[in-house]
Amino acid sequence: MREVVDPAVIAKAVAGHRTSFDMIFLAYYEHIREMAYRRVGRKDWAEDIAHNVYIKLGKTIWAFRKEAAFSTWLYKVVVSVTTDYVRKVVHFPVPEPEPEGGPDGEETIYQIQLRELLKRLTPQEFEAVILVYWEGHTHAEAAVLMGCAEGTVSKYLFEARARLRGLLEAQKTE
Amino acid sequence: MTDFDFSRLKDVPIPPGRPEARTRAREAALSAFDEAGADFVRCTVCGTRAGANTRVCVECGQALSVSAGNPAATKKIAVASRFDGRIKLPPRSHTTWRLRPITAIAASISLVVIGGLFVLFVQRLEPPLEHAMRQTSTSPEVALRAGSGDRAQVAESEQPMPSQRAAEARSEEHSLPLTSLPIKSKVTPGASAPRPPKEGQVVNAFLSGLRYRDSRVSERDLVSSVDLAAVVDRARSSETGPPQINFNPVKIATREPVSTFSIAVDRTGYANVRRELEAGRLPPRDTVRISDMINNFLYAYPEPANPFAPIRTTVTVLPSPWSPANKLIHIAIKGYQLGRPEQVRQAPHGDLSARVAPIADNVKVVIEFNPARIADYRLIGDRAGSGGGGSNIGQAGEPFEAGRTITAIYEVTPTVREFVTGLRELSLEPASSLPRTKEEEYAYLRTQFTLPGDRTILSVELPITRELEKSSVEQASNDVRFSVAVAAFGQRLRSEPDVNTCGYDAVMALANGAKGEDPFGYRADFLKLVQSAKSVRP
Repeated sequence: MREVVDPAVIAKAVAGHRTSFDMIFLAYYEHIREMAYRRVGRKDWAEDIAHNVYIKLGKTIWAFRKEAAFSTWLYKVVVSVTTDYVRKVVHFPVPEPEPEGGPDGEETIYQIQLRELLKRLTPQEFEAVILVYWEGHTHAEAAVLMGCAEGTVSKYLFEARARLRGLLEAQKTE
Repeated sequence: MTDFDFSRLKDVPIPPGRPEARTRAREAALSAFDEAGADFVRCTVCGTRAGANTRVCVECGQALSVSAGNPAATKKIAVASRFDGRIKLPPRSHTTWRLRPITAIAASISLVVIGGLFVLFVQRLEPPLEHAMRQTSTSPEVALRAGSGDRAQVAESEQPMPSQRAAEARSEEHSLPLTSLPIKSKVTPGASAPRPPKEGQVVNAFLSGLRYRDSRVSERDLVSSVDLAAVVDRARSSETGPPQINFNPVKIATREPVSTFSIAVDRTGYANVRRELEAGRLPPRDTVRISDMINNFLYAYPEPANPFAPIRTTVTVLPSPWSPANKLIHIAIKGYQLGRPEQVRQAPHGDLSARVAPIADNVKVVIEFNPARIADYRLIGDRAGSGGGGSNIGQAGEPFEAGRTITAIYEVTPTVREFVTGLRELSLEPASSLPRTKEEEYAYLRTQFTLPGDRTILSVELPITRELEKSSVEQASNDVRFSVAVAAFGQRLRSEPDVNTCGYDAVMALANGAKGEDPFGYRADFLKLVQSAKSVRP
C-alpha cells in the first residue's frame, strides 16, 4: 500500500471533512479489499472485511496522528479487522468455499497448493511472506508495518522457507 | 522451496469486487464517520469538525470560537454541541455485572428475606402509610404550580378547559397508544416547572438541536454543484436592494438554515390592492402585502387526520412557474376543532376569527432547510421580518382558530447534488430501494403550539420529502395553484425581478385553471383584478 492520497486531504478528513473522507474511501477501497483477499483467500470475506475496515475508519479516523504514515496506520487497522473477522467467522459454520476456477478463479493448481501450504505457517511468517512476496514490499517496509526489526522479517522469511521445504519433503516421502 | 517459488504468488489473480458491496461499504463508512463526528466542536460557518488543537477551520479558514488556552471554554462548547436529542447510555462495563455464582445466590436469598420482612411490615402499617403516600403524590404538583408564581395559571390548570377535558375523555375511550400520535410533547413533565413560552425561547431550543447539523455541507461543496457566486450575489442583491422595498431577502441555507414565518394576517392588505386597482391605478409597491393577499382566500386544505392534533400541515413541493431552476415549497396550515369535525364556514372576509374560539395558542411555524438539498431560499411575502431569523415571531406566539388556514410559500434553489440524485432515482434505481433518510429531505417543518389553558408545548412535525413533490405545476391541487397565482400576481405588482418571465396572462391562466368551485366568487373577483392590473399597466 502506497501513499495515494494527499496528506492535506487526510488532514481534512481527520478534521471531519466528509468529502475528504469519501476521497480516502475511493482511493483505498480496492487496496484494502485486495489486502484482505490475500490474507483470507475468499472474495466475499474480503468484501466484508473491507466493509468493516471502513466502518472502523469512519469511527476512528479522528484519532489518527501525523507521526505515523497514513498507510501504516491503515495497514494496522486492516490487519486487526481481518484478525477479528477470521476469529469470529470460525465460530460459525463456515459455508463451502467459493468454487475456484469459475470466472474469478484463475489460480493455477500450483498456486492453490502454495496457498494451502501458506496456511501451515505461523501468523508472523505468513504475514511476512504476504508483505514481501505478494505485495512487493521491501524487508525494511515490511518491518515498519509489522512493527519489528528488519532482521526479524528476514528471519521470518527464512523460517517460512525452511518450514515449507520440510512440508514438501514430507509430502514427497508419503 | 526457493525464493522463486514464493515470487509466483505475485501472479495469483485477485477476483474483482462487486460494485454493490463497494457501495454498501461506502455508505456504512460515511454514516460511521458522521456518527463519530456528532460529538465534536464544529465550525459555525461550514460545519467542519474542529481538530483537537485547531484554532482555524481547515475548510473555510474561519477562526473558531474556542478560546485558545482555555480548556474550560473548549469543554463547555463541546458539551453544548454534543446534545443532539439522543440519549446516550454510558458504555456498559463487563466486569461490574459479572457476579460469581455464590455471590449471586447469596444476594438473591437475602433479597427474598428482606422483601418478605418488608411486606409484613407494610401490611401492619397499611392505613397510615397509604394516607401518607396519597399526600406526597399530590403535594409536589401543587408546589410546582405555586412555584411558577402565577395564581391565574394555577386556577386555570386546576380546571382544565373543555377541549382539554374532551381530549382526555377521548383518549380514555379510544385508548390509543400515545406513541402512535404524531404530536410530540416538547416539555419533559416534572423536570422543572412549566413556564409559558417566551419570545424566541422555543426557537432557540430548536436551534440548538438542528436536524441537519451533521450533514456538513460546506460552501465549498456548493461551488462544485451550484455556482456559489450566483447564490451569494442573489442573496446580496436582495439584501441591499432598493431601500423602499422590503421584500424578504434570499437566505443561504448553509448560513441560516432555519426560517420562521408569522401566522398573523391582516386582511386590509388585499382590500388596499383591490381599491387601488378598481380605481384604475397600480397600488404603490410598498402597500402590496403578498402574504396577506394569499391568505385572504379560503382554501379547503385537508382536515387533520389525527383526532388529537388541532392543526394539520399540508406541504406541496412544485416547480416554480416563474423560474424553472427553482422549486416552490407550499406550506398550508389548517386549524381544526378538537372533538367534532369542523364544518368549514364559508364566511365573508375577516369574520371567521371573530366567531370561533382559539383552538391553539402560541403557534409558531419553524422550518429548517437541509443545506445538502437546498442552496438558498426565500419566503415569498413582504411583511418585514416575518421570515428570516427566529426572534421575531409574535409575542408568546399567535392564537389560532378552527377553520382558519395559513399559507406560506418558499421559493428555493435546489443544489445540483440534489438534482443529480434526482436523476439517479428517476432513471437507474427504483425509488423503493432507497431508504428515506434525513439526508434526502428538503426541509423539516415544525409547527409548535399550546392547547388553550395548557402550557405544554406540543408540535406537529413533518419532514418535507420527495414524496410530497409534484413534477409539474398542473399536478398540484387547485388551492395550491391558486395561491401560487396570487403570489405571482403580488410579486408582479411589486415589480420583483424574479417573476419577470411570468406575465399577467400567465397569472390569469394559472388562476383560471385553479378556480375550483369558488362558491362566493372571490376567485373570479381576483381574476378581474388581474385583468384590470393588466389594463392599467403603463
